[in-house]
Formats: sequence, structure tokens, C-alpha cells
Amino acid sequence: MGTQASVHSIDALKGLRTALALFSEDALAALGAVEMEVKRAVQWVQHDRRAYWQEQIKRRREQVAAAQAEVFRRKLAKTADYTPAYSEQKELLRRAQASLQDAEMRAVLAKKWEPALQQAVLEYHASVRRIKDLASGDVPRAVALLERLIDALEAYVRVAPPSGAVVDGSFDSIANEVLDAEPPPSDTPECVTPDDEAESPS
Amino acid sequence: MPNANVMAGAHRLRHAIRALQDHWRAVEPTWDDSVRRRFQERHLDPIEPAADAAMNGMVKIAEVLDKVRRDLADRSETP
Repeated sequence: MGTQASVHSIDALKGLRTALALFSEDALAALGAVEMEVKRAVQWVQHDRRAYWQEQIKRRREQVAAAQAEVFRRKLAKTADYTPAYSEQKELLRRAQASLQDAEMRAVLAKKWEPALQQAVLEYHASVRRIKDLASGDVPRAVALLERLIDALEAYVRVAPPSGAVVDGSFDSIANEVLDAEPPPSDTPECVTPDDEAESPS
Repeated sequence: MPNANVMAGAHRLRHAIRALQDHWRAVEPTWDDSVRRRFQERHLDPIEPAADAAMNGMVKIAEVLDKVRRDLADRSETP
């Protein structure tokens, strides 16, 4: 490392240190908020929707039966000289049947969404794994490294002859020592960007 | 419409990475040596592609969650 170090502003390094710490905090908060939303959705699909739509099927079957009975009752009331109006009852029956069909379709979808959502969540986790590792591990290490660099720089400036803010090669060697002392960077696998989107079951 | 809470997370991440890039751009002219380059390569360069991958993942899962909601919500249910 024969190049001369050139750091013109310790304050700029301090600002970067703060920015990195804030980035780590914000990134982890964003990931945490999304994770909560994903968990809520998984919970909703796995523990709520299937039971809900099964219950709705039962309830709507009863409504269809009641509507059919009403239409039947009206038909029975028909005599030679009296024909009761039952178009409204027929419409109610049609609606009840459509509502039952909708519930049956959604119960099937709920069953299909369970594995599909699980797959989508796995893909999501793969896509955020790297930034999560960086924000929780590498970035705090970078903050600590800057801390040491700033300490070294301030210590150097205290003893060095006043020559503006430019620091010469002595700092360069100190800084490189600090960098060399760092543990090797964690494995940096390719960022996983799942190509296959979760297949919609509908 | 993609899940709003997930999209808010993606926006927050985007904002965080932009703020960091702005700071880094401000530091670059005042710190120009081999240490800065090593620091950048080791600690900063990996962040942007990782953040991009995460934001793409967030957009995708937001769309999936929206579809799940549309498929499985009962329109007659009170929110």
C-alpha cells in the first residue's frame, strides 16, 4: 500500500458512519415490517380462510335450501284461479345459489393458496436474505471499522504537525492495518432473485 | 393494488439506500485513497444489488398478497 492517504474531513467520515448505522436500522425495520405482514397473511390463509369458507358453505347451503323451500311453497299455493307471484323468491334462490358457488370456489382457492403462498414466501425470504445479512452483520462491522478509523485519524491529527486536514501516508498504514485486521467478509452468495413467480392457484 | 404495508417497506428500504448513497457521494471527494477503495469494495458495493433484489422480492410478494386477499376475502365481510 504505497499510496498516500488522503482524508480531508473527519466530519465527513463521522457522517458516513452515522449514515451507515441509520441505513442498517432502517433496512432492518423495513424488513421487519414486511415480515410481519407476510406472517399475518400466512396466518390468515392457513388458520382462518379454510375454516371460514367451509363454514360459509354450510351457511349458504342452508340459505339455498330455505330459498328453494320458499319457491316450492309458492308453487304449491297455485290453484286454478290463483297464481301467486314468486319471481322475487326465484331471484332470492338464484342469488343464494350464486353465493354458495362463490363460497365453494373460494374454499378450493384457500386450499390451493396454502402451498402457493408458502412457495412465494420462500422466494421472498431468498430475495431479502443478502440485504438482511448485510444490514445485520456487515454494515455494523463497517460502522465499527469507521469508528476505529476515525479514532486512529483523530489520534494521528492530535500528534501530527498542523498541516490542514490532509493526512499523510502514516494514516494510510494505520488505516490499512485496521482493514487488514478485519475478519474476512462473510460469504457473498449471488443475490437470489427468484425467477419463478409463485404460481397463482386461481 | 399490491399490499400497501409491504410496499411501504419497499419504499423505506429504497429511501434508506438512497440516503446512504447520498452520504457516500458527499464523502468521496474528501476521502480519496486506497483505504476508501477497499472500504467501498468490501462494505458498500455489495449493498446496492442486495437492496435491489430485496425490493424486487418485496414487490413480488406484495402482488401475491394482494391476489391472496382478492381470492380469499369475503366481499360481504366487514373489514
